[in-house]
Amino acid sequence: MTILELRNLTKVFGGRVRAVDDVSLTIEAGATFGLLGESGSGKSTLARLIPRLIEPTSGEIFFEGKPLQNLRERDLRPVREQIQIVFQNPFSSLNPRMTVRELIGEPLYIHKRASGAALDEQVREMMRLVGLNPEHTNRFPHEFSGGQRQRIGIARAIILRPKLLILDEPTSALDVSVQAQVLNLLIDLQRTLHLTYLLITHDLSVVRYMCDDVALMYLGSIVEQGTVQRIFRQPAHPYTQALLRDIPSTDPDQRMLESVSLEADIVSAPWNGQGCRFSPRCPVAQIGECKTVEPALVEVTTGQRAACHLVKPHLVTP
Amino acid sequence: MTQSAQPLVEIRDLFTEMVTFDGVSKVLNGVNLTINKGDLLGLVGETGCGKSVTAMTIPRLVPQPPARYTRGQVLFRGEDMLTKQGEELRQTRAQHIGVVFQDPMTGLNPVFTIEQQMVDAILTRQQSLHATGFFRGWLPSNRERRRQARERAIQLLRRVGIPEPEKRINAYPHQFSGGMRQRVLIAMAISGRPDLLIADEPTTALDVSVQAQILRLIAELVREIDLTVLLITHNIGVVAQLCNRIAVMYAGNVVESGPTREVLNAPKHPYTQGLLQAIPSEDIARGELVGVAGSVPSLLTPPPGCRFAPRCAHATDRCLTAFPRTIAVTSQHEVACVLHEAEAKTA
Amino acid sequence: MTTLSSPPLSRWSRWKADHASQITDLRRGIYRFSRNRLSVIGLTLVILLLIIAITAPLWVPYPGDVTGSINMAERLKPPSAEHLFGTDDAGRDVFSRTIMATRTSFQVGVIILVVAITIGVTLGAIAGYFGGWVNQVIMRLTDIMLTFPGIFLALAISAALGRGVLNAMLALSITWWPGYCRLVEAQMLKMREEDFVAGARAIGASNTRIIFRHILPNLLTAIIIKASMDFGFAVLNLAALGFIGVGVLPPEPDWGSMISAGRRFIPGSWWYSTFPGLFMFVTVLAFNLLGDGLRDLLDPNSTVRS
Repeated sequence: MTILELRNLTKVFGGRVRAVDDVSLTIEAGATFGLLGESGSGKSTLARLIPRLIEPTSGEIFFEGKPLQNLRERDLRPVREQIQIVFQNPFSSLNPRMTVRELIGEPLYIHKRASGAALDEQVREMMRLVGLNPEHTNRFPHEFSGGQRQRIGIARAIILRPKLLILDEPTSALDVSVQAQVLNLLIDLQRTLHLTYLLITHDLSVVRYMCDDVALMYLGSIVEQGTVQRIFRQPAHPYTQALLRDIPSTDPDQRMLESVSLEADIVSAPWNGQGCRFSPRCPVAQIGECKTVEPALVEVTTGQRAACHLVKPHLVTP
Repeated sequence: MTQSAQPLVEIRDLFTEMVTFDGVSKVLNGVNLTINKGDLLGLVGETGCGKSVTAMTIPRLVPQPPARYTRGQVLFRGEDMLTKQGEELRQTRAQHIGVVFQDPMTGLNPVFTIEQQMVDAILTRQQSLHATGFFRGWLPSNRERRRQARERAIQLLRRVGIPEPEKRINAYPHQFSGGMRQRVLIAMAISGRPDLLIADEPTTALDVSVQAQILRLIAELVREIDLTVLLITHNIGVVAQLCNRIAVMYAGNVVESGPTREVLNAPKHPYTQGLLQAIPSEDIARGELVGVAGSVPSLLTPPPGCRFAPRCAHATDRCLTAFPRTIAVTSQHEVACVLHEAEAKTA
Repeated sequence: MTTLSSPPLSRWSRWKADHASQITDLRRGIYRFSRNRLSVIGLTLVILLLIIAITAPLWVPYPGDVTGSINMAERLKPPSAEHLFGTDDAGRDVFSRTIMATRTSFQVGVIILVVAITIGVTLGAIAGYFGGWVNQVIMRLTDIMLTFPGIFLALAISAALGRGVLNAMLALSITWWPGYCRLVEAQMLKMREEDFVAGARAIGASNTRIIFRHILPNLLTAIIIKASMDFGFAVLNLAALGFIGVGVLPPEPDWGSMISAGRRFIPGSWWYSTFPGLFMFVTVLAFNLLGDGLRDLLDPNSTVRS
């Protein structure tokens, strides 16, 4: 069953910057969908467009088949109970003036689900569930470590029992050993609470570990999409290939620095708005079309689509 | 590389405390670390393990107070940095040490052009050789020096891979991307032809593709100019790809150090093993990631014995009370853990 | 089950346990505050001035002189044991009048700031949070208010409504709120982009809740620091109005009007202007030092390291 569908979603900032450009994707209930991209790819904007924390410029959002784009703020509130976000930075995403009890209990209070002792009890139960000491309800966020704060953020997001959880770089501010704990917690919670995850990250190894499907964003648009297995085994798009090459492996015998990589970066090699958006940095031979025609996202093999002129379906072995 | 290893930095038994409201935090607990000339040493550890304090103690960039050095020596080119002060300290820093910080956004002053900042950095380094005092920028001879400094700045920018450096040098930092700013900072750090380059998480704020470019640049520079690098990072992958030696820190101690290949292929300390297992890799199935259980101890009241013992699966009663000594497992591979005492005798 | 022996104590210890975090924060704040010697001096002076202002009527040596009795025989006497700060041109005790003027100054200062903060914070919060045309209207109004020099506005109001302390207060309140409006608006624009505000919206919090529960408590620090700094200047401005004769009406004691009146007798009777001036100086200084110290005390995010 499809839980979330985006059709041609676009967000233009200030009339010029196409932060999210014609993005369409479908997420199945119970799955973990990874959205990969570097800074400036528009992945965080996309996260905020879904519950309409930012208003889309055009396009459609369907949550469990219901269109969201025309709902009024008041009618949106019950939907927002179902879609929650865990933010990247555990230091800025929690109000420093609120205690843990207030932070985790606030959603219940706002939606009038519980109050008083019942609320306290639910907060404590939630803290136990995410691995926090329920004795610490009166503490403030700054008394916790980064990993613990992210647990508070998760508790706050799941206390309303949402169906879809958007995880915006949930572990990128954390140390690896803490990251492992938080990722495993997310996996456990998904199993027990039957959650669907949209995991937004720049870390390919996190996607590989956590996700069923993945979409790669580059300058606001999806350049490759498919199952994690296919994309990591046989990346089709030159951008995906370069990214996979550039993760520094912990195996010293796998030499990454000797291989060729991407030239420049998004800022120093800007896209002029014509042709393929990756063409200014693309390392492979460029045909004329790359500079003039924007490639469409086409099926390469079953379960894998890419937007590149150089990728022809018959060139990829299934 | 191995036979004529000449130490550039020798940190011996360094104890450091931070005085805070909550008490005295025992930040460094007897750190021993040697950096040989020509080394590319990766100092790895998680937030709060003391890796930045250790590294920044070499140029003495750790503010005092709150920091307090209670014991130990930090020998740089054979001289103890802990006893240096004032002008002498400034001279050593200017002539022999270059530092690159984590955040390329705040490392450059937004109101000056790249030229102004680089020329200043280069001249400051020269001035430490012949101090001209207050009027330095005004004298005609100094105008000539400024021109030369500009030439040198352009040369350096070209070297670190800034395209069209003659034009770009007039730009302001905000006109540069994060990767380019980090290149500029590296150019500034090596402008004084330092013996030691300290890079504190130089690629943490960057995208992977840009990170790869910067790492490649550092590797090239080390090969070209006579440079020794101390790279501070929490990313073991970066060390594996770039460094010839690695030192792993945990809660104020170097728990394991040695040649990168040896340490990463056969980690001896339970913490190093845990760290490596915590990184999601290709062959780990969902939910199977192990990681390191528990959390970092408070350094206000650290465990009396091995600081890792409370989180260690192999800890014995002895680990909880006695501080482990450092054992050489092979000629260069050292580990601070009682589990390997037997190996030490045979080695 | 076993700890029911002494209820009052257990309630206290329970409160202490419940608020352990706040207590530690406060102690950490005090510790940090106390490490800055200047702010401790500022705080001490403020407390001293406050005690003087509150208790003055109980102990000033010549309460009659404060309300305007004239004693030409004692005219312009230099400081002595009888008259610590000397006497003025009407033979009144300068010490009694300076001390009582502290009281006036503090009363007026508090009222000015309360009015200014109420107006400024409300308008600033609305302008900053909602943006768009609401912001434009409020902020342009603020700009217009800021272009009027306070003293001239006060002169105009006095001309229209008559002289007196009430009108001076009104005038100063009107000139003071735009500062808070600006401050809160700018902070609001910044806070609106914070993750925790987006988070509050994501869980379905209403605008009122976001403004009052999430954003304003985080601005409290900035407002209190500004208020502390402003207090000194509000007192200074009131004195300036008194100096040019549109503030506190004589014979009510006021530092400004005393300095103004004493001007004519300088340098012979230096004490007449000097002591009120000194009190004014100390007040402004004390509140500024305090403001600096409060910054350290009130910031919940400053790290544990001092």
